[in-house]
Amino acid sequence: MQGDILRKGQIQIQESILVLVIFTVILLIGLILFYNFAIAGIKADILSYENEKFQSLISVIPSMAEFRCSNLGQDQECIDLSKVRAFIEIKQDYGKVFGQKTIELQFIYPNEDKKYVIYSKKSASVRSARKISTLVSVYDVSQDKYKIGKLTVEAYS
Amino acid sequence: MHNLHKQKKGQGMQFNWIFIVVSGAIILVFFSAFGIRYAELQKSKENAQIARSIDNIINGLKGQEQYKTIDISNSFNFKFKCDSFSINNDYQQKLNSKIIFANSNIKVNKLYAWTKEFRKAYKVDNLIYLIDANRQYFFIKDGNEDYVNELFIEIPSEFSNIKKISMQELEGFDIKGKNNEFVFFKEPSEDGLNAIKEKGIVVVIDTARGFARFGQESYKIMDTPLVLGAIFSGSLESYKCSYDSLKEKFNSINNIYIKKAEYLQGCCSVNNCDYTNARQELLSFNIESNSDNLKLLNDELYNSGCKVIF
Repeated sequence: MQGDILRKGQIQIQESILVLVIFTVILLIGLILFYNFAIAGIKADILSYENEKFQSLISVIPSMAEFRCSNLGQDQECIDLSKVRAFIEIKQDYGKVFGQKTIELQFIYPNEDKKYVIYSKKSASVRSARKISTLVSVYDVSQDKYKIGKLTVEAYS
Repeated sequence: MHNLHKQKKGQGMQFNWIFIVVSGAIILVFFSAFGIRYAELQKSKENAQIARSIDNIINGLKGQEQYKTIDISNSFNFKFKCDSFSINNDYQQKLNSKIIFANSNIKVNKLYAWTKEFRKAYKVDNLIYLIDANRQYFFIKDGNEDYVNELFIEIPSEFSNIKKISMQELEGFDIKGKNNEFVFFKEPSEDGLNAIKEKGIVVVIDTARGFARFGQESYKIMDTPLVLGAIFSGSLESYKCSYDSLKEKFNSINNIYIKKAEYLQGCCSVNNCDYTNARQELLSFNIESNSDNLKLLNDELYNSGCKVIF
């Protein structure tokens, strides 16, 4: 009789502890999942912002003083090919400005095979790449002609 | 037997209470920890949103001279580190080599973002000023009134926290709190300094000798955009860092123009266009140089029917 009561009590204690353990595990899983969803949401936000910034880069490059045409100090709406050539030749470190990207300029009209790689930095551990391009007006001083170019930016992450 | 049964029942009751207390405590700790972590997460998200909205405004301003107001309902800690800034010591936003002049550490809920072109014969970049809208800026016009008036014309009238004032007017002015900046355009008297130094930061702009003094330390300034940069940086450390970034950018652009001059000499020197003098001038040209001669040489090229360098 005494043994029965003791066993019954032990079983009740074990049951209660088991319920508590299972409850805690479920709670933990729930919290971890919720937390991970929240983190994933923030990461998605960051990615979408980075993407927005990347999209805007295509309009920023032609307006940079490093590439933009000017006449007697006044800015003009085109890319100066002689500046592009100078920029490539000088090989200045623009890693802080552009990061992991390749920026290229190619002529569409008149069609030329030559491609100007303005900037290129790519690490060995690239997982994904995004590409965006736009048409730009390019002034070639050697021919005193305006040409249509395709400016392409490829970003790596 | 009855006593033993009663004792067991009592132990069972005790166990139930202990169980309730322990399990209750565990659940409470879990929920509290979750609540705290969730609040931290939300705060981080909010900080990231503030940082991104500031970065967005800065990116939008880069293109042309303009200004915008950044108004956030809650105060936040804005820490500026030259190539990045952080919000509430949490989210850090990189600035990708944008040249910004701002206070290094402020608690604000409203900022003015303003762009001004920096030019040395040719355009170098658009400088961005991030101005604490809660700080009162007093431009003390004594001794250099014409210059202060000229400088004041440049500042958008919407920046109501910037005032030009004489030392005499300042003495009668009710200066509130300590978030003030007093900008002198002539070395202030010891008495004048003592009266205000407890109320805020003191910056002395010496346009004749071309330096800005922050406390005991000085650094060079030239041209209006850099004078404004010194004023809105408020400290030597912050100003020097942005100035160095600008210098680096200037050197990059200047090197491009040197190469362009060489290229023009090779490709397009019809009508006997000679780029030697302009190239020579560019080689010795630096951020502190007077740009008149370089501009003249570029104008001469234009007047001779040659392609200009810039």
